Amino acid sequence: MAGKKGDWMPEKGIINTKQFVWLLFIMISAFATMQLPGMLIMQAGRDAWLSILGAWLLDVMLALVYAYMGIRFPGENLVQYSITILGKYLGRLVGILFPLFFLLVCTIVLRGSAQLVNIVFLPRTPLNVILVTSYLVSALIARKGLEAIARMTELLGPLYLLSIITLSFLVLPAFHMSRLLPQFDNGVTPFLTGAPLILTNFGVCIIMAMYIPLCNRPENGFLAKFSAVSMGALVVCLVTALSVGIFGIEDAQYMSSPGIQLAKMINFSNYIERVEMIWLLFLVGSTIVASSSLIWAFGQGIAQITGLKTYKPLIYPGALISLALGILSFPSSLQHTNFYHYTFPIVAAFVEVGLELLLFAVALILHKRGTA
Amino acid sequence: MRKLVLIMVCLSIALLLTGCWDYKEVDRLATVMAIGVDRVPGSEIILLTVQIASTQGNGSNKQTGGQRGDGGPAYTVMNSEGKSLSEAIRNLGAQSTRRILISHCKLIVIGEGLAKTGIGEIVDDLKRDRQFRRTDRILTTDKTAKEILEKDIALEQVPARGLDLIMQNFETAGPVLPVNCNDFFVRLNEDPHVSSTPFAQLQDIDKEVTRQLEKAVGRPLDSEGKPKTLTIAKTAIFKDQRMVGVLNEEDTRAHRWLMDSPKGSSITLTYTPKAQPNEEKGEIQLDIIDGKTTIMPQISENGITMNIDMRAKVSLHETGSADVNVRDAQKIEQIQQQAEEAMKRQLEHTIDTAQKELKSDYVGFSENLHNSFPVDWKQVKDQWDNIFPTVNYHVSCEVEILNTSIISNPTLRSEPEE
Repeated sequence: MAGKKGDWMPEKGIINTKQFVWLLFIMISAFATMQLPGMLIMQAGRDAWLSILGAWLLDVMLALVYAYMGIRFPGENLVQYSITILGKYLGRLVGILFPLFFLLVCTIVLRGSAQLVNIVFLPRTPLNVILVTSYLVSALIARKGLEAIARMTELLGPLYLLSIITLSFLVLPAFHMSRLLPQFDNGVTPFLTGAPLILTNFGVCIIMAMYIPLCNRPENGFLAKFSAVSMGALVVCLVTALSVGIFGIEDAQYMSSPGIQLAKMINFSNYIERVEMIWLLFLVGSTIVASSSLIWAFGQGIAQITGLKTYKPLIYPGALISLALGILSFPSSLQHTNFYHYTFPIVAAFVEVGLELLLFAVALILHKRGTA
Repeated sequence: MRKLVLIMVCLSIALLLTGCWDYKEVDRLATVMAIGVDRVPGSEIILLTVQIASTQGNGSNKQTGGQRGDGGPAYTVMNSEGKSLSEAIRNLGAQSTRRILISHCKLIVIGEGLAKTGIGEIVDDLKRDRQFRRTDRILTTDKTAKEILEKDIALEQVPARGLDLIMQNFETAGPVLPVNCNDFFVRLNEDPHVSSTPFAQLQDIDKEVTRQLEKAVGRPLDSEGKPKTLTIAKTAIFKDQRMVGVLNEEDTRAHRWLMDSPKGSSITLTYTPKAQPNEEKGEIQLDIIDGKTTIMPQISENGITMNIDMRAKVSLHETGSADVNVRDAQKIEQIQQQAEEAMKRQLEHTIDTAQKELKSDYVGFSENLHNSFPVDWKQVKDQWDNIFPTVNYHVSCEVEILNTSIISNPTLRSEPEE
């Protein structure tokens, strides 16, 4: 029976640890640098950047669980071990939530980036045109399999990291430390509520559980996740701290994308300016690659649930469903922002933390182990 | 077949990526370099003036100035009105053959009428419109913004560029603190909601110089009259989105010392020797090479005290008297001491103006109090406007002369008194 055995996998590609790191990094940073800093600042004020450190710690602990499960069920991804742990029917019921969650994340990411391009750069272009183009590219990449995606992230990941670090240096003259002070102005509550919010975003890298069985050294899962989430946290932390230090909390919290505003603030010695387009290039590139790996994970998961031999026929339908969701669910950018801020964290926390811990606990209690 | 489909898909994506909907041909754009916003007090209508850089000559337009190399005007001024800033910008379309492009705007000039009645409604558009940048500089004037934007600036073809260059120069040196939209907004947002902008004026400097020279030489000067000159030497203070006052040149200088740093500024003082009363007095100018101002709040039973500590490393730039022997360590000591006193007096004057006259905390007291005593700040936050005028402060200055420029002692001996 499909899904019972560890060696059965619709994806034939193999990735190495380095690619694993960049895959996860692109996933975290594309998702979390676009809109998240604004929401986080609304939640945690000046302590927003500290919340990220808190979330980083929580996420590393969560990663321990995922990495352990990857080793306990060798050669199985999280959809497969859901079936192994919970049985044929209940396992499938729980297992299908993961691919659906990936598709939801894909919808949010691509709708967010298309919206951003639409509002900031191409206001006369219909949003749907930008969305359709992004989905076409994403789906094309996803059909090429994980190896293709991994190679793209190997190129885009370092570029994206470098672009954020360069951006930070260039925008530094506008930074005022006094706007970031005082810390803990309203006690520790903002810090404590901010951390879970961002954890749900970092948590998107539960997709690591889809990569582990395809990595040539699955035991490196935790290491890869640790490096990726550390770099991702650094990136988000930089964007958040700079946004507060430059725009102040009052303005930064309502910005639809503080990162783009930061790039627009670059005016280095009255010489280097108007470079936000370059940064947007990396941002949109990363979101498209990130969504392609999300669509891939969706196809992979559904193929395992339904017992298909290949996931490829599922890619275009998946992209289409996500596209339809992206267009129909959010009549305006405001609904998207509100959904992302208020509803998504609850769904994400349930899937990323709740379901996985449930699987973990059941596996321990019932002494379930991988067979391979 | 498969390949053909793939190629078609790639081609269609390439077509979609050209941005067909948002194409902009350069020759169909009117590039706005600066906008000026005015309002007649009591009226709801925003009066907009934009300065547009010309890409080609259209000599028949009367509202033009500046000359390009080929004789054509380098800029055009257009006006429009509307109930809001964005409506006024849209209304420009009624007269412009080209699409109005704001994203290259460098400068926003606020006329006196608008500044005094409140800039609240234009601020939202400046923040929200994707074309404005938070790095655009902001300027207030005692005239109308229209007058400022129609004024030619010597040596520059497009005045907006000239104004931008003046502000760029202020970034490294000068008495006025240049402010971009971002800093302006952030200060208005944060407690105590006080912000500042440089203040532009039209002054008849040429006429004044001519008049004084004519008086001195006793005959009319053989000089052609020049139009008024645009100067930026003062600072406008905004509180709760209204302009509440203007700082004079001296207070503007000290305002920059307090809010930014003394670096790049200068001090002029009349040196009065202590040891030998016969010695000649002289105007001494010191250029501040490096410096730092720190404001440390202190809370005791007597209330809040602000300890302002200013350190400046200076270069002796000019001694008005030949008798100042700067190679004498004691003299240097005296000059330093007197410079410290002069700076202290200036800072005290500026703070007094803030506390008593304008009753606006543009000297950074609340910011420092908030950062150092977040808990106590919360108690005084709501009454800060009443508390601020009563806050005690203590100023200490330290001046260190690092060099005396390329000569040491003045060599021109003054004539012996008879």
